[in-house]
Formats: sequence, structure tokens, C-alpha cells
Amino acid sequence: MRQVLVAGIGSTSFRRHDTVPIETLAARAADAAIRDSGLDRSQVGALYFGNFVSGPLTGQEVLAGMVADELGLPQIPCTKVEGACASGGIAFRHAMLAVATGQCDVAIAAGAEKMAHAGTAAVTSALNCAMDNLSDGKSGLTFPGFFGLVWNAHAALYGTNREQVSAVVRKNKANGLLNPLAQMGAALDDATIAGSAQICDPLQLFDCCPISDGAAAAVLVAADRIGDLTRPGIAIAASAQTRGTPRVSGMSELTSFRATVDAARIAYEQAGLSPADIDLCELHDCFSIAEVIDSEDLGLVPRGKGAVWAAEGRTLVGGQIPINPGGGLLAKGHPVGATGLGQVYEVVKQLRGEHPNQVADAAIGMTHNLGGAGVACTVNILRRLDA
Amino acid sequence: MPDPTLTLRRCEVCATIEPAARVFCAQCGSDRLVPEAIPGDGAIVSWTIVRRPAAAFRDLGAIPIAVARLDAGVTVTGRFAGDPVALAVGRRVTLHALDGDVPVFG
Repeated sequence: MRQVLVAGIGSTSFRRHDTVPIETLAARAADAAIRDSGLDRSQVGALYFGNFVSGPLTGQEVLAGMVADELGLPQIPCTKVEGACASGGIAFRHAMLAVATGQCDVAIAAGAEKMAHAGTAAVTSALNCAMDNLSDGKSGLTFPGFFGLVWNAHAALYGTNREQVSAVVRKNKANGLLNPLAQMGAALDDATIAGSAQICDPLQLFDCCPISDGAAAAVLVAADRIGDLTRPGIAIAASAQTRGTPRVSGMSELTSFRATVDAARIAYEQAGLSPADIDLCELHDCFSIAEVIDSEDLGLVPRGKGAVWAAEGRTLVGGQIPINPGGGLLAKGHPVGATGLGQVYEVVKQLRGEHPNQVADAAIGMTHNLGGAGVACTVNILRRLDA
Repeated sequence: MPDPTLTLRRCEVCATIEPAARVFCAQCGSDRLVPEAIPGDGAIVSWTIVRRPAAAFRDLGAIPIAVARLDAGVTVTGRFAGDPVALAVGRRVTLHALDGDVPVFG
């Protein structure tokens, strides 16, 4: 396998884009990534596209080929991948594999979603396509409900409480205020969070990420093409993808996602690194409690301490392990097919030293993207070439 | 009214009870899964109340959800028929009714 670099990144803002078609959002992000790389689009040999609910919500499919056509790419293989909210991360990994195995020297991973026009009930129904609807879905369970189950299980086992989890919300919303791409940064206090509407007990409104439109993209290149790049590339030190159970009954415990635990272990092995080496992590906080679980599953925080560490400020920028300095899904937004690539965008900005909420001397960053009830997961470790 | 019966499937090869609509046993891969009535007694593993249901469940209003670990050794996702205030991890429950094939605990 060849070493692969992230050569260029691009992203739209994550927010409502009512008048912009999904393929246009994606093409804008991909075009920005190509221009950022300095490579000519005629050199692109493959495109992988992450998307989850464009069929039910916009009625438009075949987006991989449509986006390549819009960009004027050659007659290359263009492939949509789907793994619910991990679709973007899966697109990134497949683009990496195409370059690493020598199928092409340059590949684009792009992801996009357009959801905000559809309204909450329609979006909730579309997202439920990622549930096992013959077991969990038929009860009336939703994804906010699933993470309500996760929270109550974590609370029963570890004593996790409202005030601790609110620290995750406060941190990510505050980080989002510094990110110009973020949909919903905010300065919140505990009383406002605790006073917000109940969604799925104990999840309240500010525990849930917003419904978003947006796109993000990355251009990946073989390391031996480094002389062709306008910027120093960022090395993909590890890229792992796993599957977990699609349903509650398959989880040995509700307080951990095996797909994350496995992907993290594989990623650390690939990179020859340990959790202590990670300078920052953009992880999948679709709900506040998800950040608590993810941070433990990734080995960044001791088991059971995810909420405690957030409350102690250890996951702030400047803390022991900064988590979601870009605002995370909670503040940046969650256009589901784009999210995994949006995380790559944020981490590359950090490793270039150009992030608006910069982690000092960031050299090694992690992304974590989770789909469904933990049925799909990707974990990447990105590294500055001089680190 | 007769007691409701929760019918899941048991693997004839390894005896694992399978709660999901699977063709193959998750433990041993056998396709010999045969229907079996499973006693509906167990304890709540976790719970929530879905206050913003998906479009197809709007008529139910707020939906109390209980995940129960049955004494028979299998975990199932169902609803809760009692006062939602009584929902608590570890609380003993029994099968109260079936709504279609969705278990409703009480």
C-alpha cells in the first residue's frame, strides 16, 4: 500500500442552503478542494461520494456522476457509498484505498446532504432508514430516542448527570462561535440548556445537533506526487472502517459502540500511535451523550469519565485532549453525508496551523464518524509530515 | 383475555434465542431458527420517552420506550404501558400486551 496524503480540502458552510441544489453544494466543495491542492482536475482518477438520504429528501440520486460531470472530471469511476451518518467517512476511506492500491494517483472524496427544507418529522423518518425497522424501528424508537437510551444506561452505570453532559453542549456551542462554517454556535449557560424542550428523555433540545445542508470534500494524492502540490500535504497515518450491530439487541452494553472500539484499535495499530499521541479529535457528537461515549470508546478518556472530563474542562482547546474544536456536529451542524469529510476538513486546518480555533502545535489529529445505531464507523488519524 | 405471548425464534443447533428478523443464527450461522414462545419477564436495561415521533408514529403521541433484558437471556426493544414515572433501569417488567408484534411491557 502506498502512502497517501490529503492534498486539498474544501467545504461549504453548514446551514440552510434553501436555493442551492445538493449537486451544486457538492461541486462547490469539491472544486474548492481541487483548487486548494494545486492539482489539475484532469488528473483525478476516481471520485467517491458520501450521501445518505438524498433519495427520500430531494428525489435526486446518481450524485457521484452528476458532481463529476459538473466539475468536468474525466470519464472516471464515480461511486456513491452509503453508511448512514458515516457515509462521508466511508467515501474518504475508499478514495484513500483507490490511491493506496495504485488504482489512481489522485482521488476525490466528497460528501453532501440537503435536509433543512424537509422539516423535522420528515427528516426523523428519513434518518430512521438507518435503524433496523423490523426490531427497533417498529417500536417507535427514533435516533434521538436511541441516544436517550444510551444516556440513561450511562447514567445508571456511572452516575452521569445533566450538569456534566451540559459541559459538552457548552463547549461545542462555544467552539462553534469561532468557526465561520458552523451553523449554530452559541454562548449557552447551564440553565438555558436544562430549560430547553424535552426531546427524548433525558435528551433536550440543545443536546441534539441541528438539521443541516452542506458539503465537504478532500483531494487525496499518492505521496510520490508531493512535488506537484501547492501546500505541504497531510499524511493519512491510519484509516479504519468497521461495522457493528445494526440493532439494540445486538449491543452487549448500551454504553459503548463496538464499531468505534474496533476502528480505534485498528487505527492506532496502523499509525503506530496511542491515544496519548492524539493532539485533537473531531468526533461524532450527533447528540451530547454521543461525545461522552465516543471519547471513551476512542480511548481518549477513561471509561465512564467522558462527561466528568468535559465538566472538568479537560476536553476544551488548551485542555488535556481537545475534542471538537470546530464545534462538532452539535454546533457546526450535521449534513449527514458530508459530516465525515467536514471532520477531515477541520483536522487538516488544525494540522496546517490555520484553524480559527487553533490547538497549539497540533501535529496529529483524529476523526471519528459513526452511522446508524453503531452499524458503521470510520476512524482516521492524520499527521503533519514533519511530525 | 389470554396472556400475550412473545414469539421469538430459537436456534435448533446452539439454542440461542434470536430477537431480530434474521435468517441465520448470530451465534452459529445455522438457518434452523424455529418460533418459540418466550416468557416476557425481565428487567429494564434502559428507557426513554420519544416526544418527537417519526411521521408514522404521530398518532401515538409521546412514546415510552423500554429495552428489556428478559430472564430467558435475550434483549428486546418495546414500549412501556405503565406510568412513565415508573421507568427506571433495573425495574422488573413483564409482557403486558403486543401491539402487532411490538412488545408492550408493564
